[in-house]
Amino acid sequence: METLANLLVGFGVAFQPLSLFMMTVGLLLGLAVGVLPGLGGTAGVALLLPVTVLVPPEVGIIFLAAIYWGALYGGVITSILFAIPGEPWSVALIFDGYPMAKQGKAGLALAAAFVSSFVGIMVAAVFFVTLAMPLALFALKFGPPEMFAIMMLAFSTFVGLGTGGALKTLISTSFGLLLTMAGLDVVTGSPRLTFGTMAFLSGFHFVPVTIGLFGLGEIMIDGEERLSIEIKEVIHAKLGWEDIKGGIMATKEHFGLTLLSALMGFFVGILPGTGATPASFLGYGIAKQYSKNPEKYGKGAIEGILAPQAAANAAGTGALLPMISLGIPGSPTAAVLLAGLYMWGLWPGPRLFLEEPVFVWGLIASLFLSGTACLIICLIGTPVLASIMRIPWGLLTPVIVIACFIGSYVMRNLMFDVWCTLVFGGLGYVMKKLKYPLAPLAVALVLGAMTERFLRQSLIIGDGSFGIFFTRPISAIFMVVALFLFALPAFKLIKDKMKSKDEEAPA
Amino acid sequence: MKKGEIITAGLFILVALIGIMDASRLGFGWEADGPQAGFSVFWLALLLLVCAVLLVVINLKKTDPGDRFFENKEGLAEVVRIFFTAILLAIGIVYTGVYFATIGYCLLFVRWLGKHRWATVIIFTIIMTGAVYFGMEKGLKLPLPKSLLWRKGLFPI
Repeated sequence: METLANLLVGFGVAFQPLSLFMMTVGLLLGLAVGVLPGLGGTAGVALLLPVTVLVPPEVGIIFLAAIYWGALYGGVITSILFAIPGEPWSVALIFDGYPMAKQGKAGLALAAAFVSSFVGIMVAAVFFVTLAMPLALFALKFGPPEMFAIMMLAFSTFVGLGTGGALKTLISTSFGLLLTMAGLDVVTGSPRLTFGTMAFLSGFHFVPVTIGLFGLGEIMIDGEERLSIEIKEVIHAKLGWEDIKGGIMATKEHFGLTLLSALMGFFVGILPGTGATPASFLGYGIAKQYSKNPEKYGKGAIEGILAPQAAANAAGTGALLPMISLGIPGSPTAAVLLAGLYMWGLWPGPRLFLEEPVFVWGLIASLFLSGTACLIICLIGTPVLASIMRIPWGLLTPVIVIACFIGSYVMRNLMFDVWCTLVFGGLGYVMKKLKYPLAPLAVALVLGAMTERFLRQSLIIGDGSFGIFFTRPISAIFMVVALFLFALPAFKLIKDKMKSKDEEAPA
Repeated sequence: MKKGEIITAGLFILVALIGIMDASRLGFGWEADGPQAGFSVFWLALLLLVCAVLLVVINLKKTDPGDRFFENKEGLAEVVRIFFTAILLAIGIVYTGVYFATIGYCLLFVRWLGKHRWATVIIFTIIMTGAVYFGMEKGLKLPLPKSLLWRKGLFPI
């Protein structure tokens, strides 16, 4: 009952004219970001973070979250019409979406993807409402050792369950954490990793680094790839009433699969380091594996659109749950949203629910509103959104590069941040080419300062002993799981080696 | 990619060594009131060093050089051009302010890399500079770096 009352308060915030206006702007920007291959949701949210200082925090978070939902929806259009994924989580849509479009069923494929996205977000939003408060209240029991242990758990999921190699994930994480140490040490006041320069004293700000890694770096990748990628066959987007009806009917017909994919996506999304991309592949894989006609997959099966899209959008929503309840982002975009919270002077967790109910429940209510508004915008505006893809590269790139530099500068009015964006843009390009995962780096940049603070506080409580993490039940459980996940790649390696030895051995 | 992997891992080794050196200066042990300032820096830098060294060793053992870092010369040239123009934009912002830098960058990029007609280049440059001025400076009231002429009160931007 209390949850329902809180949700009503949230809807009161989300329905305010300024919130509705910022949400619509955010959704349109997010859709554009999702459609453009050179710019992802993470960079989009990071770029527009400075704009939120002009509005109250509860409106700012609705605006940023709307960009996030828009990006989740936007990738659908290019995947189905051009076989080019606007976002990584839309790759799975190409398998059946593009063949359907080639068969003249582009409208139906798009409508099915949008309706299943909507189902995914709504199912996840209901779970979000149900679980957010209990999870936050559970976190009331957490002291510094528990918080440090949960952060270790977040980093370990990247290593144990992430898609990048374990060594490269560890490098990304430790490099990101090291970056957060640069500047004045808040406890002792000693300058660290500053090399005697004034510029480094203020440390590396999260936004310029993220804009560099995910914005400028992506632009360079895109510039290089555009020489080799050719749009196979441009299919024009038309979405008629029949397509919309067909999309709804298809979702109704396969509602069990869509619901299951959404549920699974939500719980995958909660885990840090996983996010929407693996959820969409998992959704596709399960749909194919348990299908009565697996042979039709890859040739234009509508289930191949419904399952990954519902899973991806539910995972995107799920990624926000640990962010708001515990302060642990489930994805790099959630990490940027978390950085927004810090910027507004808010601390996620139980106190946020108790002290800032308008902020928290406004965001939660906006999940329902944004999901619905995005569905309507997509169903009406697909032809316009598809035309964004046709903006020439030579005009689009300077807009993004200038926006990257201005977005970095306005955070602190420091030219140092523009140089940071440039350097990290180059580094992001190289790291992405060499398949270093960037998500752990982004999450480490946001959580680094807190992780160190909780470690120091815990060690002081434990009188310098690491035993403190294993003598308290909650932190012990988290630490054991984290250690297991850190060790998981090593176990896999040993298992693979033993298997190959067995195969080599003469019978 | 083998060379690229080794060079990149080498860069991380360098970062790790710098971290270890700085942590040694600060001290990474235990003081009366808790861990010293270099405690976290040292252990993270050590982790980075170990992982990067392992990556170098793994790549040195590989006999297959793998794919090329740049598929072709055009790809390399394109990346260099994008990065080079971005550097010019940043330098331009420092010395001439954001508006003159935007004008120069748009003219250079759209004409040279985008290969658009002069008419398109000029219209785009005017729209872009106007959007930055009216959108950021006037609309959102976000102050952006200005030129030397502005600092002397001789020009509005």
